[in-house]
Amino acid sequence: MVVPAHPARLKQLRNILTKVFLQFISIQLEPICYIILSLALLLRLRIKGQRKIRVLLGYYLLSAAGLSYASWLVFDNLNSGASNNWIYNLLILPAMLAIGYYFHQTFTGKISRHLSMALVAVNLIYSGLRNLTYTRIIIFDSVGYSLLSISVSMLCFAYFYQLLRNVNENKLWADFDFWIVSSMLLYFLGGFFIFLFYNILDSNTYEERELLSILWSVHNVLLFLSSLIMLYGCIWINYRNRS
Amino acid sequence: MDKLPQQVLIIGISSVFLLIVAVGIILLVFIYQKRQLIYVREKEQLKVDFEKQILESKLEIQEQTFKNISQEIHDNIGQVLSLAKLTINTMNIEDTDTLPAKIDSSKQLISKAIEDLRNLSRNLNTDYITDLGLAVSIENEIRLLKNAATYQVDTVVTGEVYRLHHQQELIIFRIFQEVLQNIIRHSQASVIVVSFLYTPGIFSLQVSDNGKGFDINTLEQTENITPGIGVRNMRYRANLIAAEFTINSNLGKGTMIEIMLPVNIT
Repeated sequence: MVVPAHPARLKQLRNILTKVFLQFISIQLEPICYIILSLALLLRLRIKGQRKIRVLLGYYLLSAAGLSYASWLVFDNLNSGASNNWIYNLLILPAMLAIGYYFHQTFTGKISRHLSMALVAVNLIYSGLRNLTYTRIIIFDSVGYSLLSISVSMLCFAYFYQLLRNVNENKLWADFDFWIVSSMLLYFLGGFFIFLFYNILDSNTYEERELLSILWSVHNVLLFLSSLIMLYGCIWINYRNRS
Repeated sequence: MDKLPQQVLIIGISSVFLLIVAVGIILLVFIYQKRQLIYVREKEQLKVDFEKQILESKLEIQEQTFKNISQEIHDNIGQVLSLAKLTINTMNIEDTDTLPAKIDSSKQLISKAIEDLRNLSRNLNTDYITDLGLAVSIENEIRLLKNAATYQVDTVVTGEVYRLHHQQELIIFRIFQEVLQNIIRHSQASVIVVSFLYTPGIFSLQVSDNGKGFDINTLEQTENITPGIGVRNMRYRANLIAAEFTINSNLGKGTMIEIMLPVNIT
């Protein structure tokens, strides 16, 4: 005999599931995205071993490991009160170095190469100085992330400019750099606005903390979409090369 | 209750953002493909133009070759054979004193005609030039010129000799032949210097003479109206293999012609 579920219990179950889902998106999705990104680059490396891809892969693997630890710290935080902000703050440096190197190798023009080096230098100087002290490193560096995001977005636009200036016979879809840069643009341009909001909002009130949590979920969704774009691009190019 | 509109707002803004980025990337792809189409069309047009130029050049070379054959047969082989015929006609079997000398002379004249025909055939045969290579083919030309004993011909080779692409060798050889023809016909020179330069990045062939020279500016102007010494033609041929063609000449101070070809020898 089937006992009909009580509407109140169903609602409670739905609330729990929603909470778990939102918690998954805001906490666990991020390292998973970096694992997907690493997977896409590993697949690419099997076909074409490029140094810039290896460097980017190194950064994604480091991020996957660091952010897995960061998400574990979130649960641990409930007991010990440990913060994971320092991991994010430290990851700015390898992020800008790896992405800057990738663009430096991808650009063909002198000005674009200088731009990539200049942006790397600005980010490194800012983050290096900002995170020198313990009191600063444990506070999330939203300005640093905004700077990183706008820098990478600028490099993405410079790449697209280069692409339109140097049109050739090859299909755009067959160019893995196009997929990488498109996925970066989606994530970093979206991330830029989110990090800007982060800078404005404080986490003093419950409402603001809730809003920050939602914003972080949106950030993770963007990262997830970005990783899917890169994985799709890699699989599509592999499939096309085989057929 | 405030949370729901706030969430909806954030999701709405995010969706709009995603839409903008997606539209931006699609637009980029669209513009790229449009430019790609123009690029491919332009490239095809260039290819057609280039092939047309090659064809025109080939026809011109062919025309020049026929002219050379005709001239060679008329001026050289024809003359020798006529002389041989004349000698044979004047032979008298009963005149035993002059007969052996006349037979000998006829044999020599016919041998010369055969040798001239062989040289002509060698010069015209593309495969022969391709097999021998540029350096040897030019050396053969110089040897023939030396045999005529009209010119003092010096050869200077700098660097280690290497082979070029057969088409490049053929075009350079044809230009060289034209340069020699011009020297013989117009320069009134007594000394010709042929210099080869072989470096890993550049191949250069320089031909200079001590002839009467000419005014390049006047030549460039008259070449458009009347056929001159074919400078434009030589320059055009050099362009076909991406070589640089330089000509320097002054009245009374001789002429120097250089063909410089960028190469990549590892």
